[in-house]
Amino acid sequence: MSEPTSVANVLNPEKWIDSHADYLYSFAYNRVNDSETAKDLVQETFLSALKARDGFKGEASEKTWLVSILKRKIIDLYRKNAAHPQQSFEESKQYKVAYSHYFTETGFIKGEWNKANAPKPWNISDKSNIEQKEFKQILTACLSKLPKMWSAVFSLKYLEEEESETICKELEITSSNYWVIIHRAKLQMRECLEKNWIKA
Amino acid sequence: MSSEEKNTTYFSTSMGWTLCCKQATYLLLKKEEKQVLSRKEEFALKFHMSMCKLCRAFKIQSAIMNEAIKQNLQQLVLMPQVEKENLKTLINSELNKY
Repeated sequence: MSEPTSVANVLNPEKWIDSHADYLYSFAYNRVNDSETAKDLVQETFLSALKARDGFKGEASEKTWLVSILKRKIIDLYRKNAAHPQQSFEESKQYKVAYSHYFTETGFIKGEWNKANAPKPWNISDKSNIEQKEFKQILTACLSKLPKMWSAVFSLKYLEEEESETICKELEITSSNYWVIIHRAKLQMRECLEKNWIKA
Repeated sequence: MSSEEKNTTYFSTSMGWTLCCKQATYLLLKKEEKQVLSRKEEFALKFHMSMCKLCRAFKIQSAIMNEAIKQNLQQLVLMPQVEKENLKTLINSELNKY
């Protein structure tokens, strides 16, 4: 008995805007948090896709293929921002909160939480608290306060759910650097959320 | 050696059977990403967590943050209609070139 033939995915560029523009724009906007940049990324995605359409083999759906092109462009942007941050050196230094802010570096026991900046209980009763619009604004503001490289690592890990090896390769950082960045970024995000949302 | 790597050296060389909170939170995040910890690290982390309520709070809050990021940064934001029209024109003009 012969195998059933699968219907190959086909490209339909005339319908791309109606079918995929909102999804791609949303995908980009949620990752770069800027409407102009998101719009540019979607435009570049469509243009690149048009150029590459002869190479489309139909193994993935049109949408999956377009998203993979957009993802590539977002990673390129992260890498560019991390290598040439628009933040000045002074700003970047200001954004990088030192370990000593969170943990003691002197005294009998080093590396304990500093009482003033240690985690306080978050009285979150249910999931609805983190679904509020206000929370999203604070979360995005806290993310934007991270140094560019940290923000890139953080977004790739928690939004793209990329493996650490992939992130290190994409951003050209060592594995040790990766873990320190994740650790520091998480500490900083936690404190920012606690100050601006939990206590608000 | 960069300052970031010096921090990592600090983590690996000073780690004994007992951990400080800085080391414990670092290992917690590794474990959260399903990284395999050594037996010694596993034991030391478990012991530390049983004693330290601040690190237990950090662990819970880290999980809340992960969930919050997924939920809040995956919302549908519509592309403005005018931008869609501009893009449509651009795509059609590109298609006509081929």
